Amino acid sequence: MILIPIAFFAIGVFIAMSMGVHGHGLGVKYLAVACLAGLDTILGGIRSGYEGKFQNDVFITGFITNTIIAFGIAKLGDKIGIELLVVVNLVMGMRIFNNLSVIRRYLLQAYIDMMSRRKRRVQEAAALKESVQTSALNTVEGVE
Amino acid sequence: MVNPFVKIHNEKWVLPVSALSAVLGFMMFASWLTNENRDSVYSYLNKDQQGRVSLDVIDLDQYRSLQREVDTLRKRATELEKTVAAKNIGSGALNDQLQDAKIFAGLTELEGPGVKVTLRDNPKAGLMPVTDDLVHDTDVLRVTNELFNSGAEAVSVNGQRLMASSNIRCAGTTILVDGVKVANPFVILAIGKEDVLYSGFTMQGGVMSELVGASPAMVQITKEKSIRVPAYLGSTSIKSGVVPKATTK
Repeated sequence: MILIPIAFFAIGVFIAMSMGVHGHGLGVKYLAVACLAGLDTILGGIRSGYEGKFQNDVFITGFITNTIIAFGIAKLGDKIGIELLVVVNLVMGMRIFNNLSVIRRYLLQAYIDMMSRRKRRVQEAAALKESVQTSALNTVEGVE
Repeated sequence: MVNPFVKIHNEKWVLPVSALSAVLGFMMFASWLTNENRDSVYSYLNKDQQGRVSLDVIDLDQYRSLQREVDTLRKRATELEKTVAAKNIGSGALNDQLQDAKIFAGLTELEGPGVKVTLRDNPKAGLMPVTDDLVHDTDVLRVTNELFNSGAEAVSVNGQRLMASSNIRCAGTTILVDGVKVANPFVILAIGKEDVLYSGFTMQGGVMSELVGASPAMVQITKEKSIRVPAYLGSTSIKSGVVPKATTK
């Protein structure tokens, strides 16, 4: 499930590559900060999806406003001579790690569940096989 | 194996997240730093230096050929002045004065005893040189200033003759002498009394003792019996000023 957004990410990169988009000037610096905000929102969306609390409108407006605000704050910081860009990076970095840790726990839980289910299935199959053998043995004994 | 597209309908977050992931991928590629846009994003030089680097680009080959032409034309002018002086009685004294003025202005080659100062970036600086390891425009400026102060009659930096309106300034990794790029190592030739120049330069607390801060290998000075300093080959046209006709009392 988590592989689908990653695949779409690669598609986005590919589209940009084929269009030959290359940022120039200071805008690239602000756009990088906006990217960090976008990444945070995407991870937040995946997390709420796993938690079952996902809301489409909240997610999309969150993405748009977060990127725009991050871009604006970075630009404002350069205008007034304070490195506000670092502040955005710090906050977004913390949130990204928070979201990632929650997502990782869900994925790990899913993996453990899958393994235990497989183990149980193997055990059940073995038990079934054993019972079939013993019943077959019983019937053979019964004939004698 | 379960078909993943069946499950997408049950998990409504996958499609919007995927769509915006594509947007994010696009943004990330657009903000990716490449060798082409790195300089425009993070400017290592301050703004006026960046401007000088981009403004002062000249075609060096063309400049050199023009310099050679200036050199031959000025030499021919000197010859003509001398022949005129030889033929016309009375203009000999005038010509002597003219030649003295040309020597003073730096328009002729000059030969004589002097010193050779070599400034180079610290060879042991490694990959990350600090500011003390590099030779700056101000260092060159102070060396030439010191040499003039010690009575140098002609000074050149990497073959660029200094004259009255010469300027030395910084343009990124190179130095501009009268708008021409010169690079490390800097060989500064000065004609004058070599002992005076030498002792003035190596004086305790003088320029040299300040320059050798990072490494003694950065500054070298040698006395020379005979050196040749080239003529100034730049423009000499006067555009704004005129000599006043009447002298005020």
